Amino acid sequence: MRAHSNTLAALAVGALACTISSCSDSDRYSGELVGDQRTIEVSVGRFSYDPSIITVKEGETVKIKLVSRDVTHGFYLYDYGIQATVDPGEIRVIGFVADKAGRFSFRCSVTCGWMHPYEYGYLRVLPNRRYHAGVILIVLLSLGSLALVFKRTKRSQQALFGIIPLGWRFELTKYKPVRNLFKRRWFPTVFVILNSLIFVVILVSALKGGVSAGNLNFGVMIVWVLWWVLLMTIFVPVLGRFWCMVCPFPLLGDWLQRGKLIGVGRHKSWGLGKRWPKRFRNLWPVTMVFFVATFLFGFFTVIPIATFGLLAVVVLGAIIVSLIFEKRTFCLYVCPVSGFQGLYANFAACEVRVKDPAICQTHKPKSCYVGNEKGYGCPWMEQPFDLNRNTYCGLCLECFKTCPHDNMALNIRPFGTDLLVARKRTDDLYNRRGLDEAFKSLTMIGVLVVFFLTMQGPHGWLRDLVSVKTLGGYALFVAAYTVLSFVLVPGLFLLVSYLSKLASGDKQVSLKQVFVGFSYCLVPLGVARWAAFSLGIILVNGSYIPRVLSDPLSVGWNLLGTASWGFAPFWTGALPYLQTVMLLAGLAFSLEYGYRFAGQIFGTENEAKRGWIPMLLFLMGLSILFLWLFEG
Amino acid sequence: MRSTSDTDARKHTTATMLRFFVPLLVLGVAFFVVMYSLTRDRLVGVTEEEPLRISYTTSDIPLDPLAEYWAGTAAMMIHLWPQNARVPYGTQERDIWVRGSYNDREIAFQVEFEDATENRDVAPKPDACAVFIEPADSPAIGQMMAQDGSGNIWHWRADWDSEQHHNASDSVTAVAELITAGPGTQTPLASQNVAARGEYRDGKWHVVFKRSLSSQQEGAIELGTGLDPLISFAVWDGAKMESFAAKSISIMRSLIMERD
Amino acid sequence: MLMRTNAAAIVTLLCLAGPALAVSGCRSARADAARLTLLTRAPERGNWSPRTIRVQRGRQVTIVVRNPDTVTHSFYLPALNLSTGAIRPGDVREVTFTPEVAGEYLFMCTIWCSDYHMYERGTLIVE
Repeated sequence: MRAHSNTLAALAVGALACTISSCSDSDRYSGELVGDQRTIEVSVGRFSYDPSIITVKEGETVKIKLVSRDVTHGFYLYDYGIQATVDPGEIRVIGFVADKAGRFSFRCSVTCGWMHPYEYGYLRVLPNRRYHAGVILIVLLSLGSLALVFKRTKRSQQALFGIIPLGWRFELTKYKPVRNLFKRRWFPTVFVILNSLIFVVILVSALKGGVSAGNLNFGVMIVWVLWWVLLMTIFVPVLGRFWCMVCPFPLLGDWLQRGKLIGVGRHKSWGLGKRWPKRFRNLWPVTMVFFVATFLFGFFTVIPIATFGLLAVVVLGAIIVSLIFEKRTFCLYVCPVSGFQGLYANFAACEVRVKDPAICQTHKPKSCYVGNEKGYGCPWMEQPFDLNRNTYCGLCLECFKTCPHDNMALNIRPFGTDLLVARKRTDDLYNRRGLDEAFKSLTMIGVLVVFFLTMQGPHGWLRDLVSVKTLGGYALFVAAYTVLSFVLVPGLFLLVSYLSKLASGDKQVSLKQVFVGFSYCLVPLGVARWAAFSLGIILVNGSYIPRVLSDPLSVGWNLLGTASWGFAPFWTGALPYLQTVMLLAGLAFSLEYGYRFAGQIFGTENEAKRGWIPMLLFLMGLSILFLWLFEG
Repeated sequence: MRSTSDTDARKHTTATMLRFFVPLLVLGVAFFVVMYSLTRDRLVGVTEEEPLRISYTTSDIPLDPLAEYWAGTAAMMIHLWPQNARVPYGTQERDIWVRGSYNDREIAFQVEFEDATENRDVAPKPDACAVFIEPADSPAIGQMMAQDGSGNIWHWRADWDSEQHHNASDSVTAVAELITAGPGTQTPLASQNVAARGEYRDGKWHVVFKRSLSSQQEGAIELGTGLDPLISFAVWDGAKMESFAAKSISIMRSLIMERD
Repeated sequence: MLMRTNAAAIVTLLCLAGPALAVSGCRSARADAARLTLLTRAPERGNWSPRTIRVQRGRQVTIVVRNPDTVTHSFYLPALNLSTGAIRPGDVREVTFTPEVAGEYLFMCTIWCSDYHMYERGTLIVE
């Protein structure tokens, strides 16, 4: 019976995969074909190409006749590396042989307006073999994972992919120099101060930049290209809330609360020192703050003074919240990036935990929580002696300084083990799986899709909406975006959860439990997709960074000699492969953990296996959708 | 039945929620308002070009630029700027006077401009004058590089306008009727239906362009009352070695054919 | 220990205030009469700044043309045959010349940069 349903499922999925693959193979090639030369007339104007998707056949000689509809534009084709510019009034002929199959982005290479960095079009050279291969790999991975689920032994359940023990830890702080470093009062504060210096330069640069082009502005580039990409590709996926360790935002607030910058001052926060309301001690506030902030991404990712405005508001907010509420309330419950950092940190390969819980059981008072002369009680209001999830731990290392038994450790661990933590060991109302985290996980999917479509997609009309060309268009965008992220995606997920509950046959589990429990499947996949999207940002825009480093304040300096560097994307040929590998890795982790979630949600193993199938199919379909979005 | 503490708790939560979300929303809206206004166009140094109004007449319109008829028509002074979008750029500023007229069959313009020397030879360069008309909804870039073939150029050159044509009933070859078909390209219309003649007197050129009001041929721009197409003029001074893009050109303005 | 933390505090404040001071210092250094800064912007975003430049006859002057706008511009003064070529956003170009004849000279942008490109004009007054 099981094998039968397996085969059926496999067939259905295979058919679906083939349909999706062939759907994207349009038979409508662009332009006109004469012999084996295809000529396509393309016009470019702010901020799109027309036609925005050019389809040719592999092996054809392509001739693109590019004209401008308004100002000087450029053309840079990924992988092929062909670059051209077109002034208004001329026809630029771009010729090449389409000897590589796949989908290649091309984008503008001459600053032409605010949304210039998002001026993209796609060249599809058919057959899009690597997309098809990607789909097949996704299907194989998913079905293979399903087969393993049914064959799994008890022992292999304790190991990720059957190889890495879930309990494996490598303690970084077993090395004395590391431990001593963590105990120094000036660590990591000195790096926070360093970051504050850079932050001031960012603020000045962004303010001075006014309404000039963001891609040439130090503030905009360092924040949205360098910092954002580091955050999404390395910091969060690998190191968890590492950025929080060195973030400059709370510096002044901490100083005011504590009365000292580095040494140990007041233990009780100066200021009103209020406690954050219980009802909001979750990810809801930060999910809303982040989401509302993204309404304005058409401004602050490209216009310097908008970046200044956003950063100024956030840092002022940080200071004000520090004066009203205690400790790091801002970092926990208000900071816009706290949401995904907190949630995605559960996927990271680093953690701060106690070494030996037995020591903590008999130790009173709990110095790590109340503080002593060596350091502050946990500013993130966690209980370090009981810490079992990364979500609300900001890696500030105070607990290393306060613990008289040297019982804190920084461990390297397998990716994602926190995802299996349903609640704290003590029955804690706050720090557990809940709808807030489910919605953060789900809304990050909607945000990613909209970001990708706008910033790296061929749809100029979408960019017009986002950049508020008309108020009506913008209102439409806000409405549609909100509905997509808060209604459609969660709604679809609710449906799948319902199917999962039905399939399991478990009568006692609630739909909410299924919904919330399985929402963590979207964490590894989400982390991977955001990392892939961010990779596409740095490889293409990275060449602007040396330029802004040479002249951060736009006064004509040339500190590194790179002030006149041009636009030079790199490794764009490798990008699709890197992104697909990331997607497969994310899916692999999602599947590995997903089945374990099923085991936690449903009563019996059989119910878990049955309930898992709809969710697995959903994750497979979602991955195919992502692949299509990025490569199709 | 709900206890009062429950209701109080609910009220407190609502109050806290408002205290959190209202400032957030206010901030978001304020940010939006500021950025929206910063990104709107704020024109500096831009003036609305006055339309060129031409009147209806019942009489015949002469091709002769020096005919008495033209002296009786209202003139509009239009300033020409150096062409500044494609190389070779223009270098001269000049003023021209334009008169226009139309009857039931034809539409005509008389252009008057100062020129120190009469250059009728192809070498060094001939003096020339042109009229450019495009549909009312054309984009601004159409002024320089109309790309969709919807604009017409009537290009008169002094070297094409020779004595023998003055006595002929048509001096069609003194002018080329062209459509703009892409940046830097102009294609002659299949049949040329514009007539033009130029006369030089007292240091001034007077050039008349005439076309039948309704032109059936493909590519010719439709002209008639109410259409209000956009019109501009260009002048080349041969003595200053002006040709092709090196010219003076006026900013597009509406052509209003007044019904009186 | 008190000294150390105070020192840290002072260093931090300097670090925060330093860049702000540096920028204002740079700005005032550019008040040299023989070098003029000219900003090129599309007419819907401010046009030339300043739109009228005054220089002395017979005195060499360098006009530093900066493009803080989001599109490509250029500087062209036909009467004195001055041209910078295309100035991409963020770029700076200079023209140096010595005006001999007094008068008013037209300068303009020569790259189609906006629907109002034809209005991107200014006047150089030689006294």
